[in-house]
Amino acid sequence: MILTLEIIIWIIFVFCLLIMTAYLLLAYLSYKAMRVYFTKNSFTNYSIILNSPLAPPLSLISPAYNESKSIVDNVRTQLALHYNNFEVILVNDGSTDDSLQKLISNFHLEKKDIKIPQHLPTKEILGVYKSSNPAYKRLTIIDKVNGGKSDALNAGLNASTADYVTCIDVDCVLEQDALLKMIKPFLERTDKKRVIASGGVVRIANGCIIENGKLVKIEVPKSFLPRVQVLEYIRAFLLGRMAWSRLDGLLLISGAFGLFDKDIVIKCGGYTLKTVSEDMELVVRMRRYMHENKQEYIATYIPDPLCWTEVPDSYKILGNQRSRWSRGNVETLWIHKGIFFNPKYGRLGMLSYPYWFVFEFLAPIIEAVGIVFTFILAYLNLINWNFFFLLLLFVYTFAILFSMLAIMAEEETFHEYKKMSDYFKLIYSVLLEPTFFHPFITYSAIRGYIGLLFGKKSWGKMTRKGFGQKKKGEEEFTRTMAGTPNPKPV
Amino acid sequence: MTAVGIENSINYPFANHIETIVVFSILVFTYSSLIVFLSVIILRMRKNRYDKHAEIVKSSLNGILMSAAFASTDEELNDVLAKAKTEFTRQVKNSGMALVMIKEVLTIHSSLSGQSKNNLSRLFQETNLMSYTLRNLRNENWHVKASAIRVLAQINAETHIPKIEKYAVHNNIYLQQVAQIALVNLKGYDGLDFLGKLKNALSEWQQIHLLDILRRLDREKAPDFSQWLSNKEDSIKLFSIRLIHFFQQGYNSDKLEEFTHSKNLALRNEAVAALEKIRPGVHFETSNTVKP
Repeated sequence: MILTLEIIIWIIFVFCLLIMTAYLLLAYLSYKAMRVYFTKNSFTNYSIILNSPLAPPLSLISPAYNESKSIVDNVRTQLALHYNNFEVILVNDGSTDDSLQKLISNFHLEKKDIKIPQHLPTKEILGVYKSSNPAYKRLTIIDKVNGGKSDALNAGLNASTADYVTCIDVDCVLEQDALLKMIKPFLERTDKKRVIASGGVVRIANGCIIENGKLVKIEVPKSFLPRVQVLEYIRAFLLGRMAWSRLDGLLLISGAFGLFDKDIVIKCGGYTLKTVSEDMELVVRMRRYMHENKQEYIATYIPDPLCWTEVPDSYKILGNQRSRWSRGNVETLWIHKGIFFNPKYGRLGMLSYPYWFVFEFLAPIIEAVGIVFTFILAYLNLINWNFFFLLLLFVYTFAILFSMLAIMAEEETFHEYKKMSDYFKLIYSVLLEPTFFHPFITYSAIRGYIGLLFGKKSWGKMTRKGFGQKKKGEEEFTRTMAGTPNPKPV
Repeated sequence: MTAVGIENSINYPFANHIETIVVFSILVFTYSSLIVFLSVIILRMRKNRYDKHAEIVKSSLNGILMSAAFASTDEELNDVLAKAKTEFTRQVKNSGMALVMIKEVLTIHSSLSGQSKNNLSRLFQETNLMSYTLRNLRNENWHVKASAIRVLAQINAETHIPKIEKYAVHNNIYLQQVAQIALVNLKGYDGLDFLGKLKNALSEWQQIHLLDILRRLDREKAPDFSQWLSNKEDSIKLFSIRLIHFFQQGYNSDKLEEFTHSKNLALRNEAVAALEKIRPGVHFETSNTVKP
């Protein structure tokens, strides 16, 4: 009995050590990569591309479903982005509210007889709208039968006339120079590698004030849940993705904001309808396609905060979101199981996929098993309590250290939270996160796995308050997530 | 601390083995977290202090720069320069402040023209800001070198062009790009000479940069850009076609026609686009051209 318990504890302990080592290694690589990025970037003048005839054309594709309350402002914000050669394609995915009417009246839209090529199959297109006002000549609205986010994005991809496409959530606020920064990795290569995708940092807008689509004040959210997610996003984006990009193992570019080579996206078959994690699945499929066709490529990531989004501030919505993410992860891993430890796919197969499988998919299961196991041992009086608390402290102090390193990275790079009180609020969240937030996230992930076993497919509901606007006393609104989830920070 | 601390607790040999490591790790994690916590506070305080100091330096510098820029006689300028030399010598000892000062001089320099601009160039060259910049040009770090090159270009230090030229084909791609931009800024069209010596590709981003500078120059003085059409590097050929296109060098259309059969899709498309523009009325079959 004791021997069996010993073996189980050893396995859990070794897993724990592995995950800690992996996190620290990724953090170190990210930090180094960021330093290199900032040094190189200090010689970049983004404004030169603003008036250049060589600026490649871009399409911004936003799917929208029942976004009536914010859709007009969001489109205006997108049209005001700094870039000289882009189009905004908004796909109204069968909204049942007055989204389309609002767009028609505010942007002087007229239904046009424009044929959309069917590179990718989608639900029926009901109409294509263009503005009669030259000020909105960049705008195209596609009205279609509801088919979900992936289907709407595919319709936007069909309608795009540019070489590069960026798919963004309609309610995200982009930095005005976001497109300038995102296109650069596609243009700066001097080797034969083709850049197939580029992603940037997504930050949390809860607590920030946004006026006319621009972020005017950045603050740490007042309530606990969004504030902990700030930490989570900083950790993931600053201490994780940069390292994966450097290792050429990037598996996920947030659905909230990513720029893609349209040619490859279409050759891969566009967004899939088979998973709720269509953003991650697309990146994996694109990379797989390039490997299978023996084309040299790269998927890049830049550490600049380019996109601001609102995150859930209630346990119910957060739980639904996280269980959806975990379902999406499993679905993607399952679709691409052929990559697992397959040397044909290089680092994608030998490093990224196994990491994702072990530390993203298995971690919640191992944690949950560990908790259940602890209760059983406690019941059987088989716990060495001194050692138990020692191990608990070991994990807790590591979690604190890792979060502190993330805050340090943020301070040294972007220093977005300038007030000292914001810093202390973050520290307070660092101390509480492992005890309250993390167990809840593990529980939600397990709920997602169980949901998947029982065939759950829906997006669930997401309530948004509308960032910054709540301070002006505007009402809250609810929308069904046929449209847009928050970007994953994992 | 023992592994069997609480009465009736079970004793695992495993726990005894690793207890010391775990305790040590907890201490390391805790102290490291504390160090990071304090470091952030110190970092913030240092940044605040630096910003305040920079503001003071800027405001004191501003008076000198304005006096130099708008000095009406040589004597007046010499007086200001003498004062600047004393003031700058003290400040340039601090590398951070030297950069603040250079940035400030360049900002004002770029907003001026004529004699005032020349006065500021002279102030830069005759004070130790120039020696500081040239010292940076000899630095081993590529980014320090690149910063110095950029400063020399911004201050129109034409006498130092030979020092910059060797970096235009340097192995470090970033240093190379900064030097190329500096040379075109300083020498105009003649600055493109590096194209004939370049061994690597010219990125799209760099082409955008160079074109941005070239389009501000006198079109009448533009050289024959077809000289790089025979370069081994496709990206340089592409850039030449784009230049011929942008500068409407119709006399090169025969040379461009050869590229309409190129195996390289980007070259083919660019040649067709250029020909349609510089030879109005002539339409090329584009059925075999696809977007790159």
